[in-house]
Amino acid sequence: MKMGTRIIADMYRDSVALMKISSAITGLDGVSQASCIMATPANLDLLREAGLIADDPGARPNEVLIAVEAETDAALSAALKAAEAELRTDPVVANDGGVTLEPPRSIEMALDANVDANFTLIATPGPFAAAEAFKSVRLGLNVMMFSDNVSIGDELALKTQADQSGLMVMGPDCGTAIIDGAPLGFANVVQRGAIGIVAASGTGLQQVSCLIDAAGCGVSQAIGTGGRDLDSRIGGITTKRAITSLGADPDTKVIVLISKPPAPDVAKTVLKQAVATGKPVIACLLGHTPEGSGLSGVSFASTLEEAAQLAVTAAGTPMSELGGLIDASLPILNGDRRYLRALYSGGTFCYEALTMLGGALDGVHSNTSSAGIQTLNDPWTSEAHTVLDLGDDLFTRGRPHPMIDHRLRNDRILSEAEDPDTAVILFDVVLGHGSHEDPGAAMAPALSGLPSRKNGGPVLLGFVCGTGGDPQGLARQREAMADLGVLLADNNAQAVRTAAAILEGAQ
Amino acid sequence: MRLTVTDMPENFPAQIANGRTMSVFSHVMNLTLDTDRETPSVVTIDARDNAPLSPGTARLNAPAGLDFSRVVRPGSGLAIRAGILRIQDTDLTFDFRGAAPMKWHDGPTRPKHNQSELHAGWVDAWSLFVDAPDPSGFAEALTSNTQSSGFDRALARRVRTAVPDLMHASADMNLPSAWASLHRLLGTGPGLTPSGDDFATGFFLGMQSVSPSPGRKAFLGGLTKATLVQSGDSTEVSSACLEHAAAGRFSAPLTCFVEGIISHADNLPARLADVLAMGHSSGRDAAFGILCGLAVTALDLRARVIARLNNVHLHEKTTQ
Repeated sequence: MKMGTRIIADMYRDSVALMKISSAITGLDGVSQASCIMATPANLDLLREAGLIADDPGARPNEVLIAVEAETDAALSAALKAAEAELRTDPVVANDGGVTLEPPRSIEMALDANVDANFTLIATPGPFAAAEAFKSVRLGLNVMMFSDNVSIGDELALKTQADQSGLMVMGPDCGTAIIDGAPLGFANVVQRGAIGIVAASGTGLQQVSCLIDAAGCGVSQAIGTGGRDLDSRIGGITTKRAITSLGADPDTKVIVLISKPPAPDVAKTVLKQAVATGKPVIACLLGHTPEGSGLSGVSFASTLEEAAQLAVTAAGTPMSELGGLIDASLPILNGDRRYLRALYSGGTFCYEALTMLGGALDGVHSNTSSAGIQTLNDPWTSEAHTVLDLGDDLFTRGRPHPMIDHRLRNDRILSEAEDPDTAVILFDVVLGHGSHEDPGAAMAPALSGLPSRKNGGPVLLGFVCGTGGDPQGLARQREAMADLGVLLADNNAQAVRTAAAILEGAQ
Repeated sequence: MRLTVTDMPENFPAQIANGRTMSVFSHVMNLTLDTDRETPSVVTIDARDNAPLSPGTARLNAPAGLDFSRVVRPGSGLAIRAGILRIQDTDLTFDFRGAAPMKWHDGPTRPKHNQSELHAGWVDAWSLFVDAPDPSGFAEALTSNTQSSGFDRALARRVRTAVPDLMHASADMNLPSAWASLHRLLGTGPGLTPSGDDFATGFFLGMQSVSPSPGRKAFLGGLTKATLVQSGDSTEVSSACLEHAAAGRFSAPLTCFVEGIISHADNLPARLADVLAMGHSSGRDAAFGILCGLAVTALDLRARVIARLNNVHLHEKTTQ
C-alpha cells in the first residue's frame, strides 16, 4: 500500500465539505481509504491511529490535510490531485449571489469598490472641501485637499482630528504630491529614490523633485502640507506627521523641507523633529534666516536649486556645481528698456524670485508680500520691476490656473512687451500631470507675435520645470521655447540671477 | 450592496481594522480581524433569518437570495473604516454603524432547577438526541457503523473511551484526570470547528448549569483554563469559540436547550432541533456535550451515557 498527504494552506472548510471530498476520493479506483481534515494535532493523532499517516506531515490547525492510502503510486497521485482540485474549486461564480451593483456616487461608495483605499484627493470648490475632508477622516482615510478657500479654523480642526486618528491631511491648497510613486495634482514624473520631500509649496516641490531627477537621483515620497501648515495657528501638524513617516520609511535616506517663511517657533520644533530622525535634513525655508549658526544636523538652502543640490549630495550622488548664469552670452538691452517683468504661474517661483531680487534690484513690486518688496497698487498694471504670481486668487477667480490655461499670461506678456520700459519678461513653464498638455503650443501665439530683440523687443527669459518622463516632454518643450526666441535657464534661481545680471549690465 | 448589521460582538473594532475572510458559507462567514496583531480576533457574520444570538457573531438583515459563498472568496482582504466593513473584490459591504453591541451576562439566565424536573428533562432530551436521524460528529460513536472510514472509526473509539473517563473524573472533581480525557477530545473531528471543541463547549455549559457549589465551580474553572491554554492547537475559529465558552458566553440555542432540560419544557423537541440546526455537526456535538455535562453529577444519568457508548462498542466488536 502507498500512503501520501497533501497540505492546503489557508483553506477553511466545514465538516460536510471535507467529508464529501473524503468520501469521493475513497471511492476512486485503487484507493483504500482517504481523509480530508482540518489538521489539528488531535486529528493528526487520529489519522496516525487509523494508519493513514506515519510521520508528522508538518501541517498546522488552519490547514487542510488530505491523507490517502492507495494501491499504487499512480492511484495515490491521482487521488491527491483530485482532492486538491475539489478543495480549490472556486465557489464564486458569475451568478451575482443576490448582490446588485451600483455606480459609486460618494466617497463611501468609492470605498466600497476599493476596499484597501486609504487616501482621498479632494478637488471640490472650496466651500464644500472641508465637509468632504471631515467625511474622509471619519472614514479612516488620509486626505489631499487640492481645494483652496478653506478657513484656517476648519484646517486646524481637520488636521487635529486626523492626527488623533493617525491620519494625514495634506493641504488645503496642496497642489502637488508624489505618494508611493503616484503623482498627484500638479506633479512631475520623477524617478523613485532615497530623497523624501515635505513641502508647504507646490511648485517648490516640483522644482526640487525635477532637479533631483535631472541629477540622476530619485524621490521616495513627496508630501505636500498646504501653505499654512507652518503658520503658528496650525503648528505644523501635517509637517510633523510627514517627518515622522519619512523618518520611519527605510527607503528615505535624506529629508528635504521646503516652505515659505514659517512661524519661528514652529520652524524650530519641526526642524528639531527632523533632526531627531537621524537622517540628513535639508531645509529650504525661503526668506527664513536661521538663528546664529543654524541647527546642528540641518543644511539650510536659500534657493530651491541649492536644496536639490544639497539633497542629491547627501544621498551620495555628485552633482555639478550650480549657482551660475545661463550658458550663453547675455543680451544687450534695447533703448530705454530697464525693468523686469516676471510673470509666474507658480507661486513659490514668484516668492523665490522676490527673496533673491529684494537685495539685488531697487523698486521691486509684486502682488505677493515679501520683505523689502512693494505691493502693487493695481496688480493688473506693472510698476517698475514687477514680479507677479498669476496663480493668485485675484487672477484665477472664474478661470483655470495659469499652468492649465495660458491665455491670461499670454495677454499679460503682450501688454508687458508693448511697455517700452520692459527689459526682460521672465516666466516659468511648468510641466507634469495636471499642467497644460503642450505649453509651448499654448504660449506660441503670444511669444511669436512679439518684436524680436533685433527689432527693439524685450528679452524673453524662461525655464521649463519638468522631467523627461513628463507627458509634455521636457526636451520638446525646451526646443519649442528656444524656437520662439526664449533664453532658457535650467531652473528658476538661475533665471532670476540671469535676469538680474542682464539688468545690471544695462546700468 | 450594503447590508445593515443589527448587532455585533461587544468588542468589535468598528472604527478601523484590517483582516481577511476565512471560511465562507451560504449565509455565514468567519472573519479574522487585525491580522497584523499577534492574536487576531475571529468574528462571525450570520445572515440567516432569525439567526440566534451567539458569542463573537454579528447578525444582519439580508435580502432573500443572498449567498455569501457565491460572491466572497475565502482569504479575501477586508477593511473596516468608520463602521463600514468592506471585502476585497466584492460589492458587498456591511454597515455596523447602527449595530447594538451584544450584552452578555455572567452566564445564561436559568431558573433554579428542580432535581426531578432536571432528571425527567434530561431523560427526555437524551432519548430525543440518540434517536435524531443522520448522526454525525461525536454522535456517530453512539451508533454502530462498520462502514465508516479509518479516521471516523478512530474518532469513535476515542469518544467511547475519553467521554466516560471525562465524566467519571469530573464527577470525582479529579482535575488532572478530567483534563487528560478532555485533552484527548479537543481538536478532534474533520471540520472547521472540530467536534471535540463543540463537545467541550456544550460540556462546559452543562456542567456550569448544575454546579452551584464552590468546589464544582473551581473544578470547572480549572478545566476551562486548561482548555484555553491549549486552544491554539485548534483552528482559529474554534479557538475563538472555546474562548467564549470558557468566559461563559454561549449561543442562544444552547442556553435555551439547557433551560428546557432543567425545567423539562414541553417544547424540548423544538429546542433540540434549534441546536441540531447549528452547522453540520456542531450543534449535535454541543448537544452531546451539554447532556454529558448535565449528567456528571447524577450517577444514573451518567450511567446511561456510558452504557450506550459501551454497548455500541461491544456491538461493533462482535459484528466485525
